[in-house]
Parts: sequence; structure tokens; C-alpha cells
Amino acid sequence: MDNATVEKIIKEIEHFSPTRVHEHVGKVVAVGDGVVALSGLSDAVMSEVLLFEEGKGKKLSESMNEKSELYGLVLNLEEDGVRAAILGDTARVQEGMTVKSTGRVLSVPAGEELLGRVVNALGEPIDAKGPFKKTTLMPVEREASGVIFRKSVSVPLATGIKAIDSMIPIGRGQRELIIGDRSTGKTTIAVDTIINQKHEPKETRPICIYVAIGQKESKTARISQQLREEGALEYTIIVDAPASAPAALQYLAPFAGVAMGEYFMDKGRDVLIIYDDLSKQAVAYRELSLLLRRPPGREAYPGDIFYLHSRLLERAARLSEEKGGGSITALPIIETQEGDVSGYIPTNVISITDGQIFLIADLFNKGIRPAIDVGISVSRVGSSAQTKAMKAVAGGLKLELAQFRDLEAFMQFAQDLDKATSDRIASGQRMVEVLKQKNGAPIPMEKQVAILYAAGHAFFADVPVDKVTDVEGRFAEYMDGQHGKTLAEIKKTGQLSDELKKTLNTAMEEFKLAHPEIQEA
Amino acid sequence: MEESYAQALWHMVEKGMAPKEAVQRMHSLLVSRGREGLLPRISRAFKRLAEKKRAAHSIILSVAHESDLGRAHRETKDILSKMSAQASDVTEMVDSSLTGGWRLEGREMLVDASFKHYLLDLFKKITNTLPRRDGRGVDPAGVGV
Repeated sequence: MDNATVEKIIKEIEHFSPTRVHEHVGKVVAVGDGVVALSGLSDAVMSEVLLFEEGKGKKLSESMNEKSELYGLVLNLEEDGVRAAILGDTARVQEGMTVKSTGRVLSVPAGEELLGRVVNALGEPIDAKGPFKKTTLMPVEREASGVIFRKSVSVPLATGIKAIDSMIPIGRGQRELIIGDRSTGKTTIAVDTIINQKHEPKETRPICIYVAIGQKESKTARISQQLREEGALEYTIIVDAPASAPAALQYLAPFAGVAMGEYFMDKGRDVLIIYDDLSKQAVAYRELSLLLRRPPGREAYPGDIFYLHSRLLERAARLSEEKGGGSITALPIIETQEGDVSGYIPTNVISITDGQIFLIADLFNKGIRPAIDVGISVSRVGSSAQTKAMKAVAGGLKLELAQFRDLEAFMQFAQDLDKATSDRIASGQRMVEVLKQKNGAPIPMEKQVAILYAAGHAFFADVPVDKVTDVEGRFAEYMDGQHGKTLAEIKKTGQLSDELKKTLNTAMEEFKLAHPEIQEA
Repeated sequence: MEESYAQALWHMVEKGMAPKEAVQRMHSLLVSRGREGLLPRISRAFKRLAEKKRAAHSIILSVAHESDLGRAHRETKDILSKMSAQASDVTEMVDSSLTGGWRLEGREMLVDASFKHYLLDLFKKITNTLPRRDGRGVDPAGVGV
């Protein structure tokens, strides 16, 4: 032990002055399934943190060996007591145990130190990288910013996914729902969005928070590893409430995540937060509410299930310049059953968010990945969250794909098609191929513009459909190698000037000349 | 149901009705409603309720050694008067785990002046200045405590 530490200890002992504090207490009357019924605590307030006194009757040495304190959260105020959720292992609570009121509401640590770390729903590090030295406590429940303190969404949040950035653009401060059946690529879209932020300059790069609710620990570990390998973990916080965590922690995890995000938003930074997924949070909250004896409503969910998600998602906002100009962009994920988007929880969250990205299992199985149904996906912010360059190349994309879908169905029944229809079908097929994208490979905005510009100017017209993806990749590499300045100019200005268009046209010609083999015979 | 009857009985007695009269009236009511069979269950529920009320009302003064009782009584005199408690309301207990000092608990209040509490407090303050080896946060009460 070094001298500095010894000095600290001496100081603590010298300045120690015992005080007799009057504490408000209650007693455990019943405990089970993560919920505890307490007598007393008549002064307790809603969402107050309680401390379980585990050391009563134990020797001093045993109490000193306790790894951590056990807390509870008041969720029901009743006539002759309170009910609280245990924020930890239920097995540590015994009947008759004394419970102290802390007089404070639940808060979690937040700050720059949390970047690159994996924490639980209480903000405690669980990645064995050591404790936090200096953090700020942020309340888990906080009122969302009022209308007067907000600014409209106008700055793009690039996901790096062509289909999204071109047709369902997301802006900073928006809430965009990602919804689909299991194994349709919802988490992939979210993780790729985080990875794509590494292409942003450090000053404007959003802080990313990935909240894993009720997920397998192996999945969260895999995501953490992927982010580390891609160099994205350094600006990301992972909040983990796995399937093995108590329902109370799964319910709290999204609120803890947004509280950590608000720390950065209040400092004028942009934040991207992903809730994966809110369906599991709803299930955890249902479990908790039933154990708290709250009356069940539709599908046994409590009556305030809408409020659970609305108050969470309303905290995602873009603040006015007076308030620092920071933002929180939320990408909540909802898992549907058998494609049923008219279910209770999906419809609730759809009505709260500023748009949704629908992922369809059929498309996924056909190899169209990301399996986005652009027909029914929408971003209510729209082109306000797009650069002018992207607007220029993506303008007619949605309509073209919609027309292609109509014709595709027609194609099965018609023998002879006129040239215009055949051309449209051929163009649509190639556009679908262009919009396919590998997971873990987000593409920066300027490259997307170049690719979509080429696609919109019949660059792939002579390329066999099954070769389009390969040619697109090679074209992107070619642009990187030979026309890096052009791409940099698009990135810098966000516009597609006439001069840049000429350069792109020239690049396309040069590429075709250099690769005659790509053209269809 | 029997819990509600037991509570009603308690409230009646609390408001000033004589216990015998309260029981007789309840019995008459139950007979008139054909629910005389509930009486034994109401009686057990009333017993539980009385026990709960007694426990809520009781005050426990714990000391590490019997010889500390006198000092504990002196030091808790003011606290007990603030709690509107009589000496007869206080139950004395010897708990050697306290190491020294005393601990007063009851009526939703706790005042812990035991050596164990103070030493544990000091230990937590000191260990919070040392890097922890268990990978947990410096302030496990990062939950806002």
C-alpha cells in the first residue's frame, strides 16, 4: 500500500465524527419473485430507493465482507405499507429484515468514463475493467424537455445502410422504430448504425448507447466484441440487463440508458440510443406489475404500458441552441409475432415514434438483406434529415421500387411484355440488388451517393442481375482509390454540384472501359 | 373477507367502543346475515392484526452488553420522548454483534449508535478510497444513495 493511500486512510479516521441519524425504516413482511412487501415506511415516495439492512445480527467481520449493498425501488404505495422491487438477488432478502429509506430517487452514474464500458441497469460496471473514478449521478426518471426547448430535426444521422439513408432517412433527435419478426436483421441494422458513426468526425460523432434488454448474454458479448473489432466501442456504452436479470432491472435498463445519454445531451453532444428490445421491457414490466398486484388490462399488460414507452421515448429530442443544441436519437426495436404489426405493443410504439422500419421475414429468406419493406416503412422527418446530395440521388427511388413491385407481380402472368415494361423490371431488379448490403459493412454517405447516382443513371443496366452486388463493390473501391477527392468533396459540401456530377459520369465511363467483362453479353 | 371484518372491529375499538360491545354487535350482524361460520376466521385475523399493530408500535433497544443498558436508556431518553414513547413500550435486547453502543428501532424509526455501525461506516469510507479488486464501481451506491 503506497503512502498516499495510507495518508488518505489517516485523514478519514481523523475526520470521522459519528453522528446519530434518525432513519425512516420499514420491515419486510413478505418476499418472493423479486418483489417485497414492507410494513411501515409511511413517508416513502414513489420510485424512492430503499436499502436492505443485511448486516443485522451479523458480526462486524461478516458485514465487512459483503460485496455490495442491496437496494429496492418503491413501486406501490399502499394503505398499510409499500411494495418494492428488489434491485438484485431476491435470495438475500429475509422476512423481518429492516429496510431503510434513503430519501432519494433512483439515479445512475454517467460520464465520459462510461464510454467503452459494459454496465448493468444500475450503472455498475460488469466488464471487469475496474471501477469508475469520477461520474455524475443522473436520475433514471426525468421529465422530457418541453416543446419550447426543442428544435426541429434537420441534421442527418447516417446509418450507413443504403436502403435507410436514401428512402427512410433518420435525423438527430428523431425516434425511428425498427420492427420485425425474430431473426430478420433488426439488431444488425442497429449495430451497423453504431459502427457507421466511426466515419463521423470526432467533434460531431454521436455517443452511442446500446441497451440490451432480456437478451442472451452470448449475443451481447458478440455485439461487444464486434464493436471492439470495428473500433466502435470507444464511443459506445453498453447497458446490459440480460434474460437472467430480475424483471425490475430489465424494466429499468432503458431508463438507465437514456439517463446516461442525457448527461451528454445536456453538454451539447449528440447521442444515439438503441433499445433492444422494448417488447422484452414490456414483458418484464407486465411481470412486475402482476407481482405488485396491479390490475391487468389488455393481454394482461398494466394500464400504464403505453406511458412506460411514451415517457421513455419522449426523452429523445433535439434541444434548442439555448439548451446546448444536443440531441438524443432513439432507435427502439420491437419484435413482432408472425408479422403481426397490429399487436398491442407494436401499435403503441408505432404511434409514439417518428417513423418505422419494417423488416419482413419473406424478404430476408429470399436473400434481400436488409429485409426492409420500403413500401410500408416511413420516416416522418423525411428529407429534412438528408443532405442535398442524397436528396438528389434518392428522390425517385421509392416510387421506382414501388412500381417495380407492382410489375414484378404482373410479370408472373404475362408472356410478352413491351419494352418499356421490361426495362422498368430490369431496372428495378438491379436497384434491389444495389440496395442489398452485407451486415457489419456500413457505407459512408458520400459513397452511397456515388453508388446511387450510378444506379440512377443506368450504370448497372448492362450488368447481369446476379453480378450487380459484386460490380457495385468494385465500383465503390474504384471510387475510393481513383476519385477519393470527389468523395471527400461530396462529404464536405453535402451537395452534388454540376461539376461533381460530371466527375461521377466520367468515373462511371472510365470504370466501364476498364472492366468490359462486367457487361452482359 | 375476514381481514376486512377484523379491521372493522379494530377501528370500532380504536374509536372508543368497548371491546365486548364491539364483538357482540359483530356477532349479531353475522348471525343476521347467516355468516356465523366466519367468526373463528375473523378471530384469527383479528389476532394477526393485533400482533401486527403491536409489532408496529413496539420499540426495541438493543445493546451489546447488559451493562450498557443504563447508559443506553440515558442517551435515548430524548429520542423516546420525541417518539411519544413510554419506558414500558421499550423492549430491551442484548445483541453482541453490535460490539458496543446501542440501537433503537421501532415505530418506523431507527437510530443506530452502535460501534458496529460506526466502524462499518468508516470502513466503507476508507475502502471507497482504495481501488476495488472485484471490478465493481467505487460507489456501489451509484444508485443515487
